[in-house]
Formats: sequence, C-alpha cells, structure tokens
Amino acid sequence: MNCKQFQRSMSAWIDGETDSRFSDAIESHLAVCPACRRAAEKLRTLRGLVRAPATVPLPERFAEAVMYEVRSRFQRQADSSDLWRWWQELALPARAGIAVAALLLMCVGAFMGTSLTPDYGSPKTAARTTTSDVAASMAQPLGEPGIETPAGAYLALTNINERNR
Amino acid sequence: MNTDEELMRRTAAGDLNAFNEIVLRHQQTAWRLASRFLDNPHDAQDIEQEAFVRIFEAAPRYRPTASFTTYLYRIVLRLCMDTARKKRPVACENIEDLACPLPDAARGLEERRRDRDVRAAIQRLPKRQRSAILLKEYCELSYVEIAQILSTSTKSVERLLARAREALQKDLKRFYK
Repeated sequence: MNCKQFQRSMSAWIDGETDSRFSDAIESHLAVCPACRRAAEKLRTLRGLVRAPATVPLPERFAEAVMYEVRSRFQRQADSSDLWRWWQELALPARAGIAVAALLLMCVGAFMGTSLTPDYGSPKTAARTTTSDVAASMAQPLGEPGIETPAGAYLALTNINERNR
Repeated sequence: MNTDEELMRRTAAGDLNAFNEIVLRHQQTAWRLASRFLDNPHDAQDIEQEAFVRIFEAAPRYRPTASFTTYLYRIVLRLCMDTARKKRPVACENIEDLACPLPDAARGLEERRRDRDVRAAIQRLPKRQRSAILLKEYCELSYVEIAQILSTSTKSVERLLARAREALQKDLKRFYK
C-alpha cells in the first residue's frame, strides 16, 4: 500500500466499505505514514462537521395532513371508479340510448334557452322607452293590463314598445 | 409487528389504517432526507407529502424488489431533484433566513454560523453527490443501498462520495485547525 492507493480508497475505508484484508493494509500504511494519518484525521473531522447541524423538526401533525390528502384522493378515486363500473356494466344499446337522450336534452335545453326568452326589444327601442311611459302605463284604469303582476308588467312594456315603433 | 411489505399489500387492498402505519413509521426518515436536501422546510414538507401520496397511489403496483426504505428514498430524492431543478439556487447568505428556527435556539452564535456554512456547502454540491453524501451521513445507508436508490453501481457511489468529500473539505477548510 502506498499513499496514492490510500488516498483513492480513503473515503470507502472511513465508511467501513473495504474488505478486511484491504483494511489491514491501510492500517499498516497509516502506522508508518504521518501525512496519510493527517489526511484520515481531516476526513473524520469532516464527517463530524457534516453530521453536526441539527435537523429541523418535522412539522406537527404531519402524518394527519398526509392521511387527509390520501383519504380525499382515495374517495375521489372510489367515486370515479363507481361511476365507471356502472357505465361498463350497461349493455351497448342502453349506453347508446343514454347518449342519445343526453344529446336530445341538450338540444331541447338550447332551443328553450333561445326561443322562450321574452323579447324586450332591441337596444335602440329600449332606449326610447322613458320613465313617463312607465308612469302612464301604471296610471291605466282597472280592467286594462297594469303592472301589478309580472304578466301585466310584461304586457305594459310590450305596449310601450308597440307605440315606439 | 407487520412488515412494510405486508402493510403495502394491505394498502393496495384499500386498508387506510395500514397506510397510516407506514406514514408514522417512515415520516422521520423521509423528513431527514428531504429537509437536508432542499434546506427549506416548507418545500421539504410538500415533497414528503407528495411522496407518500404517490406511494399510496402506486400501492397496487408495488413489488418488493428492494426494501421499502430504498423505495421511499428513491421517490423522495426524485421529487427533491425535480424541485431543486425548477428553483433558482439559493444564495448562501439567505440560507439562514430560509431555515426554520432550530430547537436549540440558545446555541452559540459561532456554532450556528458553522452549521449554516456546512449546510450551504452541502447545497453547493452537484445533485448526485449531494444525494450520496446525505444518504451516507444522515440515513447511514451502505454503498449497496445507495447504489440501488441512485440506480448506479457501488463503485460509482464510492467515487461520488470521494468527490463530494473532497469538495466539502475545500469549501470548509477554515474549520480545520
């Protein structure tokens, strides 16, 4: 064993990762080489330095936080897998029927959303409606549509729009 | 006492209590590694939580080819390296500000400065050397175990550790008499 060989394997020797024959050779070399002894001592000091800083303590209730996250993900997985299992168990015609029904419902919803919305007039005609028009419609005699009810208010506004045209 | 492998098998079958036992058993070891690697307790907490959640999600696919701690350390280190890659390096002057107050706040100023410098020197190491030195010095693993975690050979671990120590010795030479 010479100094170069020792320096190459010093780190593994300090970690106790060299076999016993090699370790014996290192110790024999150290007994006669003060420079390598100093190098080995420096490495031991370094180990002490590296290990010295205290570890920051683990946050309190850490395991609880982990388990909360795990439980919520587990629940989400279970929910999605239940729905998926239900869908998988359906026969193909049933799945097709559900898909068509969902499509139809969407079409009906879209149609109702556009055709059943009351026409409050274009911004242009709406701008011509004045507060005096509304006051006049409120002053209508009984028996004529007034704005006491929502339907009456709608009819009154329609009349105002008619007159503005 | 149940083995980790047995607990993982029960976790895969949906037993949350088994997984809770795994978390309680290994939270300290994973914390030691993550907090040392990142030197930022907030990031370390997020990383460790994510590591356990990933282990839970992967439980049905878990095969005990190595020890559970090797598996855990590998996941923690991978997440740490990803986080370190995305983040800008921390200027060593700021490291003390980032770290949480240590339990023994009354320790001498000199000692705290020394610890700060050691932590900063470890942070300056390349990621694989840093991983190897942390796994050796704080987790006290053998070269074979470190090689499994870093997916490399024991010879390569020996070289990584030798280079890391050489760099640390240069960086911390002011502490040698």
